[in-house]
Formats: sequence, structure tokens, C-alpha cells
Amino acid sequence: MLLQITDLSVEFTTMQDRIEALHHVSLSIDEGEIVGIVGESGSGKSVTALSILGLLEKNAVIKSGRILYRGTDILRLDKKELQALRGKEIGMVFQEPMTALHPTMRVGDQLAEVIARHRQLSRKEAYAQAVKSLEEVHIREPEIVARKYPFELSGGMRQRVVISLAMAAPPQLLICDEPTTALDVTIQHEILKLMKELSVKRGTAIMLITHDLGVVAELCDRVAVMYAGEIVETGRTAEVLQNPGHPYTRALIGALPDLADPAEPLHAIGGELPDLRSRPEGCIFAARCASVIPPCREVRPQLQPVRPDQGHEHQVSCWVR
Amino acid sequence: MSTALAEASVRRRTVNPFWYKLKKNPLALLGAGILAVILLLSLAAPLLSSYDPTKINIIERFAPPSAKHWFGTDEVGRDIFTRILYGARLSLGVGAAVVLTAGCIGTVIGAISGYVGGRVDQLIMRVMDMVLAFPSLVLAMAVAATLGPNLLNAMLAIAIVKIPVYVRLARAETLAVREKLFVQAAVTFGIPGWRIIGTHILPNVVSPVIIQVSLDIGDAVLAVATLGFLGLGAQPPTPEWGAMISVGWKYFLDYWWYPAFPGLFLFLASCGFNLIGDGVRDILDPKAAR
Ligand SMILES: Nc1ncnc2c1ncn2[C@@H]1O[C@H](COP(=O)(O)OP(=O)(O)O)[C@@H](O)[C@H]1O
Ligand SMILES: [Mg+2]
Repeated sequence: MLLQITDLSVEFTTMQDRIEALHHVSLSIDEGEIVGIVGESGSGKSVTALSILGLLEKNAVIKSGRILYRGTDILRLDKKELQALRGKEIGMVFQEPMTALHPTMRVGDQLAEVIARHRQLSRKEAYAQAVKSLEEVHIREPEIVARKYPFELSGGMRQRVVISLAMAAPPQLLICDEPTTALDVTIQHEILKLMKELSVKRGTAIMLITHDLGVVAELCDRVAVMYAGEIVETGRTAEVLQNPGHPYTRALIGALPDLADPAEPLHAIGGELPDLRSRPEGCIFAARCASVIPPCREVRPQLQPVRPDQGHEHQVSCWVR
Repeated sequence: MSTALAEASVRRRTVNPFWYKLKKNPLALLGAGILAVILLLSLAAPLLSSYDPTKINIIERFAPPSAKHWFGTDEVGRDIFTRILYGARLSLGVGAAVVLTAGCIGTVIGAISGYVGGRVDQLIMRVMDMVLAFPSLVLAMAVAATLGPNLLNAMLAIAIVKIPVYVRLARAETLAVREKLFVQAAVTFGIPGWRIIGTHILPNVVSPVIIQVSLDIGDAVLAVATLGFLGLGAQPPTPEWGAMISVGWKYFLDYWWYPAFPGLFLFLASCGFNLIGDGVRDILDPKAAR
């Protein structure tokens, strides 16, 4: 197991309130695997990603849990050890390629700096490698692009540059937080293809965060569906999409016209995320769920195998079967 | 339509709004003009005057202004005009050097303080608050007196007094830049903190610092002269304006030209800097004008 998150709870303290953004989250990623985390905005996906890299804001407290990276608990590392992990072992790609690059530094120099650091090369060798790595993310005329500033590049190009920066080491795990959300649909597809290609070529595992199940379907081996800071369903992508166990997963699928089961009526998910200041006693999704039954509002469901006879991989936390 | 757009984009590239507004501010221009003249005179000093600023010529002591000695001579017969011109190099140069030094040191400290945060930040800011709590001239006098009265120590004293202003400025700027995604992203790429401060933070906090530096040079020139006047700065026979006024002051009733001309130049230079400073401030923050 490359990364294993167990029982992670994260709380934010603001002026008046405590917000429990993650509630007993468990998730694992194998070497070379692509795992999707899907859920609507505000469900705690970014907080999960930032916890792994030790980049949570100062008002965050880890209430419980462990994050094991190859057996060592990341949450117990000191600043220096964590720094050694970043980029080298675990890389990250952010949603906004517009602002993720140094605005007044040439693209090639930015890449060369990171490459020189991770691969212990001289600046000159690193620059040659930088041009090469631009080629590897399918940027045409890499020598010319290397001499450009970020503002001279399109959004898709910038995201390719960010990806090659994050993959400079290359790391064992790449966390991508909505990597294509800010891009045109046509470019989205190319970037996803590129990520898959790099993952296969370098054996890098990817944690792909998205609000779009379509992206998960295209790329991910496994998927975890997150709602209000909890994982409500997880399993192999094909299995979850064909046989969703949670009403929320079904609702997400319902929002995808091309993937939806034609027999199921297409519906938007009504309501909003619950107030994270106080979690309800019962199921976190009960307030928005179309198929509530009595226990839903009283007892919190746990992740359980959907079909225990067919293995434990596909799990769902729901009383309705 | 498209030509109008093209034209607009060309115009935007060629006219810098800062210079444009500065040109529209006649007082700032006047200030710049005064300083430019003083600077040119001082640079051209060897051409404009054949006298040596430190050579003693007792026979011609206390000569009144004349065609031979435009601003007269002092108690040992040195040409005051010549001494003022060479003094301008010293006063302006020292003023600029002091502020630049304070600006550089203060910016680095402020960037570290803001980026690292926590206890380091608190400690640094407490020290800076302490320095700022004293009236700056009194503190500079105390430092200069402690270190010993000479020009270098006076510069050091003024720099120390000025540093906290830059620390605060750079720190505030750093706190804003630190939150930008490209800094966070740099952390995830594995770039170490000191390197991020150097390449990501510092280049993005220098512009307000440069403006502050331009506003502070006038202050520093005056402070150098003040310490010189009080005998805590440049020592005679160095042709420094403050020191010249300090000695000349004693002869004011009999030989008015001795302190008057250095005083006039100090006044003009100070006015020049202040007019520019006001202009820059107006341009950057039109609402705060007057
Ligand atoms: N620094 C913070 N302070 C307070 N609340 C935060 C902070 N960061 C995130 N949150 C809260 O945590 C929840 C999850 O946020 P996030 O992980 O960003 O969601 P998303 O799934 O859209 O990435 C949200 O309710 C958000 O308001
Ligand atoms: Mg997010």
C-alpha cells in the first residue's frame, strides 16, 4: 500500500464556530493506481489533499487518524521531513493553472530549478531536462515555450507545465485537485489522457479529485464518493458506476446524461450540504435523501460491503438496500 | 473597432501611467528639477571650481562673496561654494546609501518574519516595535553617540532607525504574497523555504519598498546633516553640509555667508525631496492627498 488514510478527522476553528470538514475518513491508494475522489463543492476533497501534504491552514486541527505513506505516519513528521517528501515523493497539481506558476519567471527556469533540486543536476543539465520534460507533456516547440513567461501561455499549456513541475522528481504519488475544472472541455480530455499516460509510464499513483463523475469514469481504477466530509461509497469504478449503492452516488450518476441508466429518471440533487458545525445523529445525507427510512435519521450507517459474498472492495454506508 | 482596439493596446504599452501622472504634477517636477540641478552641480564640481574643498588658505579667510569666491570663504580660507558642491555628493550619496541599506536589510528581515511566522515573527516584530517607540532622531543620536562620532556611525545609526519601517512594509506585503497559489504550489514542488523567500516572495514585495525608499531619502539627508550639525556625524574638515552649518553658525553675526549658503542648499535639497515625495504619494493614493 502506497498511501493509507485511516480514520482522519479534521476540524477548522473560525471566529465563532468549529467546522468538522473531515469526519473519520479512510482511504487507500496502491502503487501506480488512479483513485478518484468525487463529491460536490465543499465536501472536503481539498482538505483531504492538503492534509496529506501538511499544507492545511493554521486554523485546522487533526482530531483523529493517521496518514501512512509507505508505512510512516505523515502527520508525525517534522517540517524538514515533510519538506523532503513534497515534490520528491508526493506531488500536487492545483485547479488554477493561471496562478500556480511564478508570474515573472520563465517556464524553463522554473522547471530547471525543481529538476535540479530533485535529480541533483547542475543548472545547465537541469535546463536541458526541463525542455525534455516539456516535450513529454506534449508541448510542441519545447525550446521556445521554455523561454516564455506563464502569461504568454494558454490555460491548457500552463496546466501541462504545472504537471511537468509536479512530476519533476518524479513522485510516487500525484495529487490532482480538480486539475481540469478551469479548462475548456476539449482540453480537459487531453489533460486527462496525458495524466493517464504519465501514470502508466512512470508508475506514479494518482489521487484525482473532481466533482465530475465523468472524469472518474474516464480515468480512475477506483473511486471514493465523498459527502460532507465523509466517504459514503467506495469501490472499483466500473462496479460503483454500474451498481451504485448510495443514493448520493446515484444522484451524481443521474446528473450525467450519457452514463445514466435510461430507466432512472434524470434528476438534480435538491437541497444543500448540511451545516458542518453540528453533524446529525443519523445519516449525514438523510436531509437530502429521497429514500429515507426510519433508522436513517437516528443511527449513523457505517461503510459496509455491498455484497459480502463478492469481496469487500465495494462498500457503502447506507441503511437502504 | 478592431483598429481602435489595436490603437488602445499600443497606447497602453507606450504610456506608463505613473510617469504620465508624475508629469502632470508641477510641484513634483519642480522638486525633481531642484535635485537634478544640485546633483549636476555636484558631479560637475571639478569643472565649476578650481579650488580644493579641504585646502587651507589662511590669507583669504572670511572673504565675503565675490566674483572670486561666489559664496565667500570660511575661517581657514576654503571656498564655500566648492565645499557645498563636494558636500552635496556626500550628503545625497550618504542619504541614498543609508536608506538603500536600511531598505535591503529591512525587506529581508520583513520577508523572513512574514513567511516563517510564529514565534520568530513575534520576536522580530516586538524588537521593531521597540525601535519604533523611540523618537527616531533621539534614538539615532543615542546610537551615534554610543558608537562614537563619525560619519560611518551616523549612517549606521540612521539606518538602524529606518529599518523597522521596511520590516513592517515587507512583512505586510509578504503575508499577502504568501497566500498566493504560486507560493503554495512552489512548496508542493519541493522548493525549500529560504529559496521561496528569495525567488517568490522578495521580487514581489520590492515595489512598495522602492517607493518608500524614494520617500525616505530626503529624511535621511536631513538626518545626516542634523547629526553632523550636532557634532555626532561627519567631522571637520569633511565638507558635509550639517558640519559646515554647525561650525559656521558660530560666525553667523559677523560672516553671515558662512552658515547661510550650506543652509540654503540643505533647505533646497530637502524641499526637492519632499515635493517629489508628496507627488509620488498623490499618484499612488489619490484619496490621501492632503
Ligand atoms: N481554512 C478553513 N477555515 C474554515 N473552514 C474551512 C477552511 N478550509 C476549508 N474549510 C471548510 O471545509 C469544508 C470542505 O472544504 P473543501 O475541502 O475545500 O471542499 P471541496 O470538496 O470543494 O474541495 C468546507 O465546508 C469549507 O468551508
Ligand atoms: Mg476543492
